[in-house]
Amino acid sequence: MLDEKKLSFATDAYSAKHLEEKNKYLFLVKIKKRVKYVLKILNYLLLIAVGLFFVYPFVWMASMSLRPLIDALSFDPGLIVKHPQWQNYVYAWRQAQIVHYVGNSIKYSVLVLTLQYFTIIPAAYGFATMEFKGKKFLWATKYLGMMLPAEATLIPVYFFYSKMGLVDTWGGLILPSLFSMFGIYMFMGAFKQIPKEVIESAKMDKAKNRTIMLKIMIPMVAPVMITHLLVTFISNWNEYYWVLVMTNSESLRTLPVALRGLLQVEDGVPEWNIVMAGTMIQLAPIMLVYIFASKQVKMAMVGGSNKNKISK
Amino acid sequence: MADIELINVIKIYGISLKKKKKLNKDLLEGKKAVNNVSIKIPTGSFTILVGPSGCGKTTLLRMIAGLEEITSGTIKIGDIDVTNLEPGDRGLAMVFQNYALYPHMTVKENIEFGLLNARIPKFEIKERVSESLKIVGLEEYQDRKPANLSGGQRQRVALARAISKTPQCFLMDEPLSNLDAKLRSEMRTELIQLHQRLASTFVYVTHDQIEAMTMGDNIIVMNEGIIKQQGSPSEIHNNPNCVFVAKFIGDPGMNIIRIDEEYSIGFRPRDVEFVEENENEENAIFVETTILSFENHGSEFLYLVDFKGTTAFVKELSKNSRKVNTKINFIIKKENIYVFDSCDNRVYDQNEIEVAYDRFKACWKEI
Amino acid sequence: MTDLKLVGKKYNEFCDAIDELKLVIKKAKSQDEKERLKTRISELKTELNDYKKSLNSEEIEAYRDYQKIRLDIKRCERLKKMDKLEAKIFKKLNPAYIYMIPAAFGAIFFTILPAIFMIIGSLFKVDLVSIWDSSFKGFWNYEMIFTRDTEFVKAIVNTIIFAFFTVILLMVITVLMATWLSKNTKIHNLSQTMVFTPHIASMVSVSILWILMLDPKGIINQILSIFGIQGPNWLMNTSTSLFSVAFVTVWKSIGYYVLIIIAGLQAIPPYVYEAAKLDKANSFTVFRKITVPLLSETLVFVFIMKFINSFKSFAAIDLMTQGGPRGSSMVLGYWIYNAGRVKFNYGFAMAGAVVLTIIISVFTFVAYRFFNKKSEN
Repeated sequence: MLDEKKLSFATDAYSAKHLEEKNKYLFLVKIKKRVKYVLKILNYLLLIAVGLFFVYPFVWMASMSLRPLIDALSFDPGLIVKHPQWQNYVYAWRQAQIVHYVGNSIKYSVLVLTLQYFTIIPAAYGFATMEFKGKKFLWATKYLGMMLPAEATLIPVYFFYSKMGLVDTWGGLILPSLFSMFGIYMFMGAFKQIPKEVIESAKMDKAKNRTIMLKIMIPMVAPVMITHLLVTFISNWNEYYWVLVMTNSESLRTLPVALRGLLQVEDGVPEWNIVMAGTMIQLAPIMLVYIFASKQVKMAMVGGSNKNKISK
Repeated sequence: MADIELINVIKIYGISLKKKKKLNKDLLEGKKAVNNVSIKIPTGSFTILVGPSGCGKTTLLRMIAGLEEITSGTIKIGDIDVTNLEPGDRGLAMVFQNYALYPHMTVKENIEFGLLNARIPKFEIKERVSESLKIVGLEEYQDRKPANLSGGQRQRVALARAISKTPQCFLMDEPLSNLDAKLRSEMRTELIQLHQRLASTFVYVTHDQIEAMTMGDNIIVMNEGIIKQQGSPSEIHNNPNCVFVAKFIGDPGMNIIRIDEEYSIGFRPRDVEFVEENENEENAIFVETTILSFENHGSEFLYLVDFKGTTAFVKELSKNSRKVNTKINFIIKKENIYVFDSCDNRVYDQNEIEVAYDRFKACWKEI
Repeated sequence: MTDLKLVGKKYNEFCDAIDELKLVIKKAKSQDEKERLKTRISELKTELNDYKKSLNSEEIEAYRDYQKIRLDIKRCERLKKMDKLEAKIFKKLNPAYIYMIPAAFGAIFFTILPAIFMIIGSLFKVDLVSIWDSSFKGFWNYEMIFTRDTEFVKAIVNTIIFAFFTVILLMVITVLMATWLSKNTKIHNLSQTMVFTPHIASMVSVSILWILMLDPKGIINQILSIFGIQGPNWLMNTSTSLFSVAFVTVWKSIGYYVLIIIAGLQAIPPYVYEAAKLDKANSFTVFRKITVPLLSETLVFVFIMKFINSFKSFAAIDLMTQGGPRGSSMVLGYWIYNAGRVKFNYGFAMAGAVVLTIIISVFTFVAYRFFNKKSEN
């Protein structure tokens, strides 16, 4: 019956073309292929060039850090150093007291990385699975807190800190990281991905809330944990603003803030080679991680930012 | 061992028992997932909750398990009111549709988890694990993770996990629907055997009426949150109390023909006799019609036939198929005819049946 | 074998007897009776010890096993009791509140209290030494920063220019680059990896790097001089300082946004493109009619976030220009820091913070309205 109703129009756009001039056509294809090949190579070269635009400055920084002061001040764009001055690093490490700040940076990162989970994970678990009065209000406040810039709340928080004696203490320094909305968001999203049945079956298995959280959920979101660890390590190692504003003495300041000190010399120009050596030391751990696990780092950083999409 | 009893249970999503103030108003207005259900599930039975998707059967099961809060009503297991007890404290075990194994634990750890939480001493846990694994035949797999098991094996682990708890009652939420057809029928027989062996109550949810008919000894048919009929498989099949049950049970379900405002009649596709021509038999209706299409079921053929404006299915046990658009004649005997009233409920009154039958017969004569 | 079972039976009998006596002791009234029962227990214990000594090595092993089991059962009973107690407590108290303590503390201490303090404090001339001596001044702080502080208004304007400039520049560059880089070859991946590098480097190191690059004698000007252009002192020139800093922040975050857009691009299912190919669409049509519409939600959202975030850029300004020269690169975030932490004028700083919050709220609100409308369509 359908045959009678066969659709027909004036032009026949989707039928295979008759290749009447087959040879000519094949020749054209050949030329096209060659042009394409050349374009491909050019494209690759361009890709590398653009990539270098983002990497070259860091390599140049490494070369600067090995120059003697006079060479450094010439800002020569070349990368090769004839007589590498390794003692720049020794100088930065000892005289500029980078060793002290590296210690502080490590301490700061380790403290945050280990302690944050004691607060973030229960909160994420609560938001993901539990019902309680004031949940929406708390959620809205946390959301607002993410919008409210640290620059705006700086003065009140600094005031509280100084009244409570938290300025220039490790406790004060790591405190806000323990309530990071970013982490709560990330783990909440991960917890919500866990199939409902698994949690229900744990409930049938007489599991208490903490058992579900510790023995079922955390092992199941282990990959997220690694991602989060990576992201928080990078962001804490690089943290600048918070450490700067919540410390007054040098005793607690971390490497990024210390580098700022190297820049601010009383008169004349900073010793650029030493500054560069210090900066290289600050960059080194993250760059090493990046070189060996670039894929993971990229995934972690980009995936982590999609946190906002989860809530949408 | 104890019966499970549900008394006037209502479930409306989004409304919990705790907010009592609004409750009365909501009870009238809300859409009820489970509507005033009262049933008794006898000890040791293999009870099947069956119905189309969205009929509230899974909700009902989850309410028994304690995973779903009930809006009003009472659930009792034996003499104990478990309405407000935690899921773990009800003495039940549940098997989920997608197994719900803990993916980071080995088979052994999966089973141990619930036992450890129940504070059972270690030596006993050991016994229980090995015993339950033996029952499902997975002793060699106890150190594997669920990811390294096949679907059927995972289902068995889930079963072993339930068995190890020696519960009063097993709750199963479509446990076989994720398996392929062959494995499913294998597991079906195994579950029946398991039920006999453990001699405890099984409450089994399925949307598949064949599964219900083959496995259960007590079937509860649900639709739109209401229990339509409860009874043994043969009762449900041979004696449906409403159009819904009649249509839902059987493959395919009963043919229902509306004859007038008052009555409709039904007959099963299998309950027809194929004849060459009208023999004017007593108490039977002769039907002469054409075949619209057919399905080949191997040893039998299912024909869709024109039935006075509507269509009906008839089944013939035969190896040779009839052709589409050819004539087909059959008779429907009076004893195979079911009568339903205008509210789709079954009519049992003999006189009324007589009336409906005569009208039905008259309809056919006219043509 | 029966021997060993006997050991267990005997051991359990002893223990049961001891436990029973212990229970009796608790109920006992007179001191005398207690003493008597205690001696009876110690007797039983020595008896048990004697019995243990009389066992042979095989039996000792069985004895130990029975002991272990008995202890295990006891431990489990103890735990069960604790569980019951816990269940009782949590029936009254929602356990969620315990889980929420840290989050609630964070919300109160870092969001609610500061916000309230900020709004109230902005109406006072804050006395640093004793806060209670602060005097209420109404909107005096606001009046002062808007009329007397030359840098404040400049900071507002700069902040908004800075945000628009970075977002527009970033959007144009990253969308183009992402469509170009989005391919899974080794070279493309390498290029992506390189472009991403600045994002994970600290703002401090990037700033220091670009202070050098943008130096009057730095690499940028060296390159310009090849083309015969005399480049300015980028960071020390009132007309270029803000844009130079903006450029550096853009340079740092290009890789990040490129990767996000690529992730968005690759989330578009390939069958869409295949269908387009079958429908004979050319690559420009595909980009215009398929890629952009399917990507627009990601794009709008990502760049709204970036826009709001660029109100908060502090480190780059602090390191590269410190708001100078003559306030040409002053932004609100830095102005607040300067007023509060450097000049210790808390009232001004908090008034500035309120203004910053209002500006961010307005832009966020508008952006969300815009975004929601978009996603509704």
